[in-house]
Parts: sequence; C-alpha cells; structure tokens
Amino acid sequence: MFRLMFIILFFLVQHTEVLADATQISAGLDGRALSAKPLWGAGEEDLNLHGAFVNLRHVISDAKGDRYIFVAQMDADDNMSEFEAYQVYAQLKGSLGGANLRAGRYILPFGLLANLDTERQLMQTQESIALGIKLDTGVQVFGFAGALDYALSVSQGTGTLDDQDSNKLLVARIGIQQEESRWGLSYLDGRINTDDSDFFQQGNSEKQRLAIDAEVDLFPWVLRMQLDAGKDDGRSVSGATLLADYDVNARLSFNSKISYWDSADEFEEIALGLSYQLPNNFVFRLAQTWQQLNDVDETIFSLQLYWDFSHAL
Amino acid sequence: MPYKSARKYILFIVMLLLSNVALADVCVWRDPERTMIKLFPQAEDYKTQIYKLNPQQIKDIESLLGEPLDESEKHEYNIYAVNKNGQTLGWVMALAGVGEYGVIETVIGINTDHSIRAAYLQRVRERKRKALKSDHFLGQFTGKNQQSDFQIKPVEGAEKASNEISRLIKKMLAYDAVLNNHQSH
Repeated sequence: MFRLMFIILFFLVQHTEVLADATQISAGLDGRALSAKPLWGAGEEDLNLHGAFVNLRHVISDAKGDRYIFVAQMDADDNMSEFEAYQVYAQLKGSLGGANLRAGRYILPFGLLANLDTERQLMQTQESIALGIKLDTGVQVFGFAGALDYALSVSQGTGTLDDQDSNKLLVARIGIQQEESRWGLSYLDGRINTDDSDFFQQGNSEKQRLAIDAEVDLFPWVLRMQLDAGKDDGRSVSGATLLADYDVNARLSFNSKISYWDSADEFEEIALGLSYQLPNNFVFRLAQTWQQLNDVDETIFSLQLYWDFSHAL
Repeated sequence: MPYKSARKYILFIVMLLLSNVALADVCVWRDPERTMIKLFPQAEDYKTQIYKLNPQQIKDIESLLGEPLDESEKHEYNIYAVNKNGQTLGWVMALAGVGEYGVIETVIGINTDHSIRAAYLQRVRERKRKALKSDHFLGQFTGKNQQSDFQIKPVEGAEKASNEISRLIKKMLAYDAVLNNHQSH
C-alpha cells in the first residue's frame, strides 16, 4: 500500500508545472535521567540520550501556491542504539480551506493526538496503554471548514512502514476550534497489531474506541483532557487523561498529569513537574511521576534537557 | 547516580556544543491557513517565500528598525503570498515575541501597497489578552506602513505586551520593506 501511494503522488508531481520549492530542516536532542524504568511508556533508568531526530520538510509550489509537502523524520533513540522512521509522508495540499490528502506514516488523528505530540515531553498522552499505536502507515484526508476540523484515516494497524497484511484501521475525528478552546470527537475501529516496546499494549487485538478530547486555555492554565471508552476483543475498556499546565511567567511553567486506564489491567498515573525555557533553544524539565499497574506501583524522578532548531536549506 | 559509559557524556557534550550552531528558533505557527483566511477572506491559495538574509539586508532591516536583530532572526524569514486566481492579494507575515507569560505570536496581513490590512494575535497568554486581541487595540495598526508613525495607545495594565506587539509589527514591516518590496513592482 505504501509503495502504491508514493507512486500515485510521484505521478501527480511529475504532471505539475513546478515553479518553486523550499526545504526546511529541523533537528532536536532529548537527554533524560530517570531514577527508574517506567512501568509503561518510553524511558530508561539512568542518564540517556533518550532521543535525537532530524526532520526534513520539502514544499513544492505550482502557479497558484504550495501544493506538495514531503516530510521525513528519522529518530535515533536510547543512546543512538535504535533508529526508526517517525513521520514520513507526502501530502497533496488543497487550496486554502480545502481538503488535504496525506499518504505515508503519520500520527493517527485520534483524540488529543490530532493536535498534540508529546513524544519529546516528560508527561505524555496515554496512547501507550490506551491504544497500543500512535503512528501508522496509510492515507488520510483532513482539513477544516470554518470552525470545524475533520480527519479521516485508513491505515494498516501495524505501526510499521511496510504492509504486513490486508488489515485496515479506521480513524475518524471531527472537531470544533474556537479562540480559547478546541473540542473533538474521535472514533477508531480495526485490528491493531504492534510489537513496539514503548507500548504496554502489544500483540494483536480488535479495537473500537470513542474519545472526546478538549484543550482549554484558561489563563494562566492550559487544560488538555481526553475521555475514552470502547472495546478490546469485545471486552469493555475506558479511561481518562488530564494534562494541566500553569504558566508562572514566560520561561517557567508547572505541569501536571492525572490519568487512569481500565482494561484487562488497571493503570493509574499522577505526575507533577516543571518546565523552564533556557537560552539557545534549550528547555529543562523535571517531573515526579507515580505509576500504578494493578498491585504494583512505582515513583520515578525524571530530568530532561531538550534542544531543537530549524533552518531553511 | 551510576552512569553506564562515557558515550553518554560525549553525547551530552555534543548536545551542548550543537546549541551554539543553532541557526534559528523552531517557530510554531499554529493554524496558519485559518489565520490567512481571517486576514484575507477571499484568498484561495498561498505560496511560501523563504528569504535567506544577506549581510546587507540585515543591515538595512536593522537600520529601518532602529535596533539590532536577534541572532536567531538574521538567517531567514518566511513571507506567505496569498492569491486568488493567481492574482496576489497581499502577504501574510508572522513573528513571535515574548510577553510576561509566554510567547506572543503576532500575524499581519499586508496589502499590495505594503500597508497593514489587519493584525491578529495567534497566541497570547497575557492577563489582558482579550483587550490585546480586540479591534480597539489591534485596529490601531491597520493602514500603517513602514514609514508610519507608530504611536500606539497601549492596553492599560498590559503596556509591556502592547509595546512588544508594536515592536514585532514594526519588525515585520522592516522585513517586508527590505525583502519583499521589490517583488511587488
């Protein structure tokens, strides 16, 4: 499927009068020190270069405007010992306010993930326990009409770049964007088959999910929340996540998270921390996280030094 | 805390050294298309123009602005040309500054005569953000161009943020005058 999608996009590009193009490179480094390995989610005990990434974004314009966008990001994780493609896609951009078509490996537009990627944050959204997948290879149509956002994705359900079977995962989201808030309703249906070690949910299961997500700016608070309900192989599951940030000033903010997930296992997580913007694009973060998985609990102290930049080529 | 190997230290030293070659901040402009439609409701498309600044252009911008550019602002700048049926309606520019409670993302629409069509705050987290986002405050910038007098009445209680927004808009007009003006003729 992946190869076919690129052939189609390549064909479209070949038949367009290309007038201008632009390439942007961005990169980042994410160093962390954790007092213990988390019960779930990414991270290793001790001091690590948790992740490094390079992202290339190339835009091709036709006579009317930006028309094709190509994004490729490579991540090197866990002291450069694991290399993997992150988002790698081609996008056919519609006119202003029109629909966009994206093909490749992208973040699924489900719940908060549609607008929020916490990959490089200490406090993360809870796809590692609630979905078992975050990025997948497929085709997505998305856009907006007035205050309304929409996205419809059909993907493999494997989280990998290559096509493993004819399984399809459907994800749909509709949202409303206002000046100080946005709200969304998402649906996911299909078989998810993953073996990513960052995800607590591995293996093969038939999932249905309904989620309500919201992001509300209540100065000095920013609240992000998601409510999930659905089924894993016919068994009911449910969960909730609240991420609350409090801005003290332009550099310092306090961060907190509370979440639970009820499935064959029970998960609870509470985290408190802070984020401090340093000079030269550095961000320092620390967090104290308490996790409970069934009867086992753990407290983790985390430090993070993060840096990124972007530049036109 | 025990550390596994010297490789980690080397990687962190590399990380610190790399910070000195950072060429530009990662500027996040959320929802650019929605903002473009707010500023130019009739627009049908846009094209990104990336300008790499040369020393003379930096000097000219600083001269118009009356203050030096930050190091991260001396490398490149994006201007978005909005059009309808292939006809340029104007340009959209964005720049981020710092308020008391975080980043202030300021966006302006510029007419083909290089006067300001409208200003919009994409992100502002100040106490008086409603007043800062109001037509009463932002409307003061409408019609101004690079040569205009920038005596703006600040929002009471948000003087620092008001001045920062005014400074950002002046800076964008300076970028426009040096980088973009010649293209309109």
